[in-house]
Amino acid sequence: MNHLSRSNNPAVSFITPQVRQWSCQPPPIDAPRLLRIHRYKNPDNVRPVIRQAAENAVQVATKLSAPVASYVVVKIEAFERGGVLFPGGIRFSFPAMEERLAGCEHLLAFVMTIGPGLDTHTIELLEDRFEPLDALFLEAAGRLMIEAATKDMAAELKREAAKSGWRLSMRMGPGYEYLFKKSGQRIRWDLTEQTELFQLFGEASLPVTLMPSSAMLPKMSRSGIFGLSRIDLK
Amino acid sequence: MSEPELEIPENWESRVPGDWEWQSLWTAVEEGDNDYSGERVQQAIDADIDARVILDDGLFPGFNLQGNRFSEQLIFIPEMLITARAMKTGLALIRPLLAAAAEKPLGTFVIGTVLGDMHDIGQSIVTIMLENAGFNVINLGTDVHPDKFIETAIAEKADLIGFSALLSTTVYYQKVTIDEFKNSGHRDKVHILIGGAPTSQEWADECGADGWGKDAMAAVILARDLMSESRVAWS
Repeated sequence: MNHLSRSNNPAVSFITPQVRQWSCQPPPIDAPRLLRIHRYKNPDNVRPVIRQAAENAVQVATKLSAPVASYVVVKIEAFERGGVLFPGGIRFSFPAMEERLAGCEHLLAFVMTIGPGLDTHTIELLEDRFEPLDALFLEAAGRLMIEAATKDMAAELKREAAKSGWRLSMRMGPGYEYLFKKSGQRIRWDLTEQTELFQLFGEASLPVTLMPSSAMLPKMSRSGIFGLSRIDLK
Repeated sequence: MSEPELEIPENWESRVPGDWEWQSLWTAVEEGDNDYSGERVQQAIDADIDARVILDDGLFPGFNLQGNRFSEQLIFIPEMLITARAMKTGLALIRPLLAAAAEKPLGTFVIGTVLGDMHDIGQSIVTIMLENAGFNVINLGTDVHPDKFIETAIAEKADLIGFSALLSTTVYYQKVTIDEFKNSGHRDKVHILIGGAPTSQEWADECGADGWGKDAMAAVILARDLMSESRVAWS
């Protein structure tokens, strides 16, 4: 069963200024992968109590996760020295952006979360019930879940964009390092530019809250951008 | 690589009543049986065995055995957590007795996740391990501003500070926080450790930390080692 379900109107062109929603069923994750993350190569050789904890974490994470994202497409007004300018004077000041978004006319920004359920339950496991093993596996399950959901969303956005003649660039996000070919060095896109990324959504209600420190809530959240360039049909 | 063996405390029989045995508690802590751990520690308290003896002779052998297995990579973090839970169950019962006997902790360790990072599982595990090892741990939680680390270090006259970061987007704030310690004039009064998924020894060297805890047990060993290294005293 395909677990993707777009909540936006497919009739709307991909290049539109409205903030749109995307959601999906919790993507499948499995206990053997959770165990491999914690260095157990063969799940059959793991102590039953640990294997059971991993299996429980998968079940709980699947029950408590509700992946949802908001995304918006904005026009790139200009590439400036050391940054990119958008309507309303919003600007990303990241020198490597121009070469990484070369040929792009628009930018797609997104914020995604699997919801607050895992956060709350992990705190309860750690602080109220003192079950650190269960909390460890649940946190890892949450990371697998949001990674999988982000990949699923990107794949669907790429398909939808292609139908309208647009190609998505590689994903980027504030806080990560990228190779700046001009200098041959890796440079960091400042995490504080989360503020500008969130400003691209205007006044829209979002499933993710940005903290003054640039952290996001719920804890299991992702943000990022894709450049949009025209597919050459020649 | 040899299988670590249980290190039985010397002359343990001389510190307990004649018919007492610790083997069942050593096994309970090793295997993570927290119900039995609590039950046996309570029996030891009721038998008027000194709290320090319960800790050193009763709880530590099983915990240290698993710690040594972990260091040899024979077991992994999940097994250590099961053992830590059993250890903590027993420790919780004797902690008031240790405090009443004015037993001093190994040192004061302030820990937290750096600014911009809401993830707490890593530092929570390190907190458990440090407390079990005898440190007084002040956990500041997640998304901690450098000023908060500095204020707490001053107020608590901290011996060690630990900065956790789970995200590669926030690991940079470990360096920022260390730089703020330098700017505040307090850097030489504390030993600073860093840890978290995106960290490494190279990063620890680059950002000016005193050590890198590649995992929770390594952090405990490092913290113990650093306690014996000199630093400027708090006034």
